[in-house]
Amino acid sequence: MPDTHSHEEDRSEEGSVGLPDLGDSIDAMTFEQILEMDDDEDEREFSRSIVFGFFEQAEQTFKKMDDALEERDLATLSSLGHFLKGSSATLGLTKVKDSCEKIQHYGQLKDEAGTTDEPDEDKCLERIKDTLVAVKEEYAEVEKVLKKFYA
Amino acid sequence: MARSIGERLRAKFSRRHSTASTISHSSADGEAQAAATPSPAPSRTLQSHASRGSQRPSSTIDSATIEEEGKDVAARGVHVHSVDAGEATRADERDASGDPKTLEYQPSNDLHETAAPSSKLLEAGIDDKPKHDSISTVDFSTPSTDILPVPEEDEDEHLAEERGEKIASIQFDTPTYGPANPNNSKPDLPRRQSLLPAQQTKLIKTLLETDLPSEARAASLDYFTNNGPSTISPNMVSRKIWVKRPGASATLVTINEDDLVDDVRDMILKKYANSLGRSFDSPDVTLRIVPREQRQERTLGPEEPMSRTLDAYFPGGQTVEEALVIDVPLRRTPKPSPQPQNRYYDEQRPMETGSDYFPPMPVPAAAQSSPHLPTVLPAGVNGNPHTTLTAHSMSVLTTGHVPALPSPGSTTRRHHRERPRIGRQHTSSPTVLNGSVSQPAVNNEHSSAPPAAPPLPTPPAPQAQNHDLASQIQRVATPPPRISSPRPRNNRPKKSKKANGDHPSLPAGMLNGAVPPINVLIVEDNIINLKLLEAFMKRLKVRWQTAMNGREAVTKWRAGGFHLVLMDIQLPIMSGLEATKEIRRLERLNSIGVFSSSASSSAPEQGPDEPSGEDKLPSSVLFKSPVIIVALTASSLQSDRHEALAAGCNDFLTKPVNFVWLERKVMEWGCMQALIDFDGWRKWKDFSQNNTETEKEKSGKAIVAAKKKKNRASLGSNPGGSTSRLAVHEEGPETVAVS
Repeated sequence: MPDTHSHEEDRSEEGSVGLPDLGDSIDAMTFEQILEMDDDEDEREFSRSIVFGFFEQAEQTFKKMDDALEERDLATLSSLGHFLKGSSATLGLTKVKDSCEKIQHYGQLKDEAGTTDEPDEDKCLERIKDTLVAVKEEYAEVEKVLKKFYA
Repeated sequence: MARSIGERLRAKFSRRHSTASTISHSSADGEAQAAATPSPAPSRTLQSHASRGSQRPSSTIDSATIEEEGKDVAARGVHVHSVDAGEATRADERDASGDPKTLEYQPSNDLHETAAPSSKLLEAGIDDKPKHDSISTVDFSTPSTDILPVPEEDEDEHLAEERGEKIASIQFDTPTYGPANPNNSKPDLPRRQSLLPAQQTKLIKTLLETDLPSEARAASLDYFTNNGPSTISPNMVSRKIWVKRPGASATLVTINEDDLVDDVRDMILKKYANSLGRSFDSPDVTLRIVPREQRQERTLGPEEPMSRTLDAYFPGGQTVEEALVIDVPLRRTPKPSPQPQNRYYDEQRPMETGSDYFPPMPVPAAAQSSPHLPTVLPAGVNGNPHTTLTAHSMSVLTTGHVPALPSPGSTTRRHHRERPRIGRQHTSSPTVLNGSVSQPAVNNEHSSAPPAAPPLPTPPAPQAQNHDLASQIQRVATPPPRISSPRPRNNRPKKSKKANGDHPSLPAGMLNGAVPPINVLIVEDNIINLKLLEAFMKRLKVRWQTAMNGREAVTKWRAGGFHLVLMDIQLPIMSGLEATKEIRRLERLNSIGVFSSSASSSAPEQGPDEPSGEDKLPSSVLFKSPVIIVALTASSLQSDRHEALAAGCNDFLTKPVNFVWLERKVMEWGCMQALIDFDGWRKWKDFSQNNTETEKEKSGKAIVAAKKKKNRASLGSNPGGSTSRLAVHEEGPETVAVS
């Protein structure tokens, strides 16, 4: 599945025209349709509010995830993963989205694809820990790109 | 046998002719003799020549030669073919040595040494070569005088050549034959024969073009202008073989000389494009050969060379009775449901779903399919998904009623159209799959193990008529049953409603003649997504409300008036699925969407289930029809989607929601609801035509909505049926009109 996704994203990036280079961690097409909602292409008021709203949300969520990880609260981790997955998907932040989905699945005591049960809680927590580190990095990357874009 | 061989030879004649005629002209003379030389009774040749009819010389001569060979052939079995070649070689040797006796039955001595016929042939060819080279000028030096005395002779050559399948070119110099042959002046020249496997077309060509002296070539071109060396091409070295399905009539399949059985299977699928090609792949097909002489029949392996195998089994050629039998597995390759499939592929869905939903299909079918036909299209084959999208768009469904696309949307769409594809937000609307709803669910059982694919984008089919939609909704099972075609019934009350003069006030957005005047409930717990969806609804100029969890969604829905719910699946407090189930339950209890016709049939089950207490909806007026619930999910798991459908969602969209898709969904579902709520629709239309002042009401959406709701009085509720009780307050005018 991840393979297909990245492949598709590659294609969609190729296919989109006139979009600023947002790096490969942002699905250009998805993000572009948000940009299209802007009334003013210079101000970009709407998309800016969405994007910066997401920054806020992501940082809050990461913090909650850290806490939940500390408390070994897999269910909360899963639901937080799902939550952030929704908004990151909406913005086309594919890498963040994929990592969030993994966290969601690990939190359900499953493998990263969510198809196989992984009854070992410690293993899942360990995986979430790793994924959380990764997703923060991925987030930092897109945040940088987006902030530059809206600068 | 000879007869059918003759037929086969004639079938092949055209191909052979061009090949042969480019070879030495004298070879025809020689060949005729070559066919005869092996015979212990040379007079026979004369006989056969004499008896040869002008029309069918080939079969006659063939019978003569075959009969002779028959003596050997019976003993030779499988290797007769290569023996033929060897025989010819030896004939050549014999000629060279001038000792006819050495030839006579020499072939039979090493009949079974010919396990590797081609190498042997090559050997023969190589052995022969030096001599050939030495006299090649002689062969061609006087082509004009070498013309066959009788036209049939030319054919004889082909026949003989045919018998020795592998002999691609034969060049004979026949000092003793041919009355006008000037080569008689060189009687001591050995007869030349170049023996090459027919499949070595390149070699033949090379030989023809390099070995021939240029003058000879020029001369030959003079004579055979139409059949010069340039006409030789690999595809001439094709042949036809008989194949048949068990118990069916045989048919010819054209194959190349060097095709393997595996290639032949491909050809067979092309030939049987309908009966086999649609359901089988070429590896499914097996070929059985039924040899002569009561030998055990055998299934051919895919790696066997077809031509050689046939030649081995059927020396002298395969007759129609000896057609290869095509066997296919009893279990058919699962057939794709024709309707949805096209669209799935249109959207270039990720392939992993393809493996779940659709079996690999034979190339021929795909190659012939048009993007507009519900045929099998491998992903990517359809290079023009938009064409199809347009063709299947919802606007077709509502032709005549749906105005042009909304202006804000059209800019968006234009923008998107420049893109090669829709992106990865795939949605599926199983409810418009023309009844194939059950299939995804079935398939899901198999697909749940591997990470499932995103859902399937399905623009509505043009033929997804209203009644279709209705029946499909019933099939989904959760929405309450309703009549198959709500329109006729709706038409009548409409008049009475119009008569009551209560003009609806509509938001200005509705007046651009675009998106139907629907009311959308957005259920989404993530504020980012919610903001985006709201912004999008604003752009579409439809009314919307929001809910942040399932409980809130049900509460808002209970207030009535919603046509469409965009339901996030995973929600706090009450999940989208639970909310959906609850809504469907309440709809069922309150008989929403149940019309008189179906009300009577479903009355028994409704009787005891009379909604009571908190389950009773305030008034069914605001619930014309079951609300359309479009699930929104970021999950890539197929199982999640099916779960959503099972819970009673009509459709789903994948996050990130593609706005083009969302717009389409709003359009199509909105239009469907508009059809159900036909009077409201008509009023809206009339109103939009007659009243422009509503544009001022842009800001007054809430009021407008309320008014609208009021106007959309319960046409759905049936005065005559059990549902009438639910709609008591609003029943007045409708009752008159309907009954």
